[in-house]
Amino acid sequence: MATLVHAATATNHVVDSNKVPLRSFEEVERLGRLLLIAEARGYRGAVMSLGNRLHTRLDSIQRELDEAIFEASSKPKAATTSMREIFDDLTALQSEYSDFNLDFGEQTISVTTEPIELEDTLLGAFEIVLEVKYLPQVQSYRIEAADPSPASTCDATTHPHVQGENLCEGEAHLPIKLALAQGRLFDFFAIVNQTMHTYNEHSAYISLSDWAGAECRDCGETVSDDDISSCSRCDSPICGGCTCSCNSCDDVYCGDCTTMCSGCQGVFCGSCISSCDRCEQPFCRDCLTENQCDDCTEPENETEADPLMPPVPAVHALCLGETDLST
Amino acid sequence: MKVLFINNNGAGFANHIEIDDGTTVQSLFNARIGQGRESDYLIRVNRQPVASDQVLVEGDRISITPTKIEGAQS
Repeated sequence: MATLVHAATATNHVVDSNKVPLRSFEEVERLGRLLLIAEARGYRGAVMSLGNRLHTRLDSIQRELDEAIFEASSKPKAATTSMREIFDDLTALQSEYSDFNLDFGEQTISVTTEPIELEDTLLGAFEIVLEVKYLPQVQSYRIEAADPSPASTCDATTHPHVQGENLCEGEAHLPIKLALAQGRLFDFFAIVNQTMHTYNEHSAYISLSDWAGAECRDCGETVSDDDISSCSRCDSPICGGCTCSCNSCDDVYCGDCTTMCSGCQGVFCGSCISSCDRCEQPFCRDCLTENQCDDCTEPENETEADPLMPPVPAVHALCLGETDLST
Repeated sequence: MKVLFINNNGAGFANHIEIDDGTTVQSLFNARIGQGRESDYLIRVNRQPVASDQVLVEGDRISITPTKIEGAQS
């Protein structure tokens, strides 16, 4: 495994490949070929022209090379880690962590942290898995919760700074990057471990104050278990501020499982509310008379024949003279 | 004499540095970290925890890692 790590980290490029003037080299090669042909065939004009172009291009390459060399020299050279040091790192990791594993098939090195507790919230132990084949990339490791105790509102957040299997490194980003680039395995695991043991309340995926408890279905706030109720109908968690109590049965419901009576404006659960047979609007039982609301009942009553009123004529009196009555 | 000094604080670096003979872990820490408190760091020599008065020797590998490194949301 030390050999693999050494091979992966030994290619520490200090020269930016983008700065190498590859296209200029190709152009010089092309002009050189043409110049040889021109000389062989005795094309004196072409020889002059190609010679000038080649000279210009060589000048340009010299400048580009100087820039690349200057830039590479100005970068701090990474200390190289020998195979022996990598081996010592692996040995030290084995004694430092109770659970240390080398997987030659998967090419991974992993350690398991002690159970982590941050601000009285037990998050459990985490496995830090380094994938050697992806070294020295920064994303060559993952964090796996050994005994997940995720935030109540998101199963993928097993640590305030871990989502999925990715650690959001924050202050640790540069030290981790450098440790991986140099193959300093012991330092890499120490930095990640210490980051996992630190809580940054100002930049957490889910703050520890919201870790336990549940998210209110109606308002989305996370509240502690003591302040949460569940809807008597759909079992959704609802906070004290969002609970609706049925005016009839007094059970607690979420907003979606209650209906407002169109008559008295009271809130009722599905079992305690009906609808008017005629207008189909929701009404509580007290606001219905023989399954009809007051508004639908009154017009119907008004149209019933009143024995005290004179009968309505079958034919309109004003048009009587023009009516063609049959005999 | 030359030792490898690894500072995992801030940007992090690992450099070979020259120190005087008889330099202890404590004096190197004071010189390099300055006002930092020892208890805020994991100080290792050749990957092992050591006493602060341990005298460093040629070729030692000293690493200093903060105990608190703040992660972030993104």
